[in-house]
Amino acid sequence: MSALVLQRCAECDYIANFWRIGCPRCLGQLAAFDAQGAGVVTTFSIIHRWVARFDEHLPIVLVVVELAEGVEVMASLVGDDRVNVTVGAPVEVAPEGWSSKSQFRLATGSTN
Amino acid sequence: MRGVDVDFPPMPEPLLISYGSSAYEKKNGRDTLSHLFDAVSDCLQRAGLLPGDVDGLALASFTYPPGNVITLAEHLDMRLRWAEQGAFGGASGVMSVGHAADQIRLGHAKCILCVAGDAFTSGSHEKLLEDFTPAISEHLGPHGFGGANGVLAPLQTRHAALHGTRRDQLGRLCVTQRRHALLNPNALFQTPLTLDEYLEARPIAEPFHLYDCVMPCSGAEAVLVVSDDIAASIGRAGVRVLATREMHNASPGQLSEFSAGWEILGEELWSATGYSPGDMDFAQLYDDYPIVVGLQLEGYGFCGPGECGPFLETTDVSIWGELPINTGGGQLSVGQSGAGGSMIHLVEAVQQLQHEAGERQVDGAQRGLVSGYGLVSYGKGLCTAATVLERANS
Ligand SMILES: [Zn+2]
Repeated sequence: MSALVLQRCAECDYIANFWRIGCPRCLGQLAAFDAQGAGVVTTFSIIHRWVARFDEHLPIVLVVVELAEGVEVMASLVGDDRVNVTVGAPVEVAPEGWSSKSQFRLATGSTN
Repeated sequence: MRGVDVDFPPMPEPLLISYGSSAYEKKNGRDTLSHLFDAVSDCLQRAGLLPGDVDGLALASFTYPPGNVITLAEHLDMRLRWAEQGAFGGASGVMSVGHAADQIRLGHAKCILCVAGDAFTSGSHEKLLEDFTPAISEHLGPHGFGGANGVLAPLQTRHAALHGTRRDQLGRLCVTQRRHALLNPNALFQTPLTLDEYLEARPIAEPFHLYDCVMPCSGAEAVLVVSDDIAASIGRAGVRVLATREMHNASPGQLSEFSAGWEILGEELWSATGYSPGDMDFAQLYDDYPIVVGLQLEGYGFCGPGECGPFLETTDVSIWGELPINTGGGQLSVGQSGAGGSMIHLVEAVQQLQHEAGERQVDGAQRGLVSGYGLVSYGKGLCTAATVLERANS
């Protein structure tokens, strides 16, 4: 999955960090939009053990990303250099992800 | 005025009067109901009571469904005037005691049993975690998110980045809790742990390594809250529930905010009780990971914001030290019996305040803080609750 889809409120511009049924701030309707797909890692973990169906993807780098849109999402990184992630590293949505959810990669020109 | 109680009788005082545990075992042992029964039985018999004496019941369990608090009462022939199904992860236990105490003050019930526990088989714990909340199964599961380990390890990553917190500082807590566990026959870990072993353990979800993570196991824990008139007839030392506070989803929509509301709970508890962190003879702090204990130490004011690393490095947190923490070994060294982990710290606190902790007794313990935290969801634990308990000197 390549595009990062978020929801924005038509009434108050609230942006949801994960899928919501309606706007938590004004109870208006949310509409999907394509996010810029860029952000900065605020924290992360590097997972070495989990259920067997993910074994081929280990180590999995789970990240909290503060998006350009100002909301924080949780996702994972792809790329052979993913374990070089640091707090503050810029990331971008990765077109080559293996998850059914949007994944990120370290941005070109970042620390590695 | 008609329909209004104009003559208020004096409020009954709730007292914690007993505690009980089932014998912990690794996965694939006895089932959930067996563990719940053993904890209930141990707790009631210690007080000289039977299920028919109970008129309030709180239950927290992930693996007992489709059974629930009422079917447990049905199973045990209890006639209830109050019930609560705790669905608050690691905060369920503290919340249930706080709510039970309030019900007794209101006169709605007089003898409330709070029980929590689970039994796991191979694979059932991972299955539970993958579907733990709607946000997890929808948004984190597809990332291979690593369960609670993967979601909470980022707390430590960020704390280290902001404050320089080191593994060798946090590891001291794990080493100390293991010393406590060696004095607790119910602990599943019965060999000493050195700081080197802690540091060299294999990574699980970095920065978490093996000894930062609780071991899921099967077990159950229970405590009993009764009105003061019943307590008098039981003749055991009572433990007062001085104040209890809870907070859920403390920072809506934010992920890199550390606090689950601990500093607000702390302020209110110290204000309500007139005590301060320095007055606590022990602290039983929810310990799914040492960094979570560290964050609670900061939030409740045992040390300054960001300072849990140096605090754990320089403070003796053993039962012989300045601030005894998790005096029974905690979940990290006893084992995490699912929802039982929300109650194990209360069981230990009551035992300490009744001066029945044997070899691991904190000398002359009069009061302490018990704190729960849990329901790990999208990037954080959602539920927090804390209570200040004090030995009644009557
Ligand atoms: Zn809105």
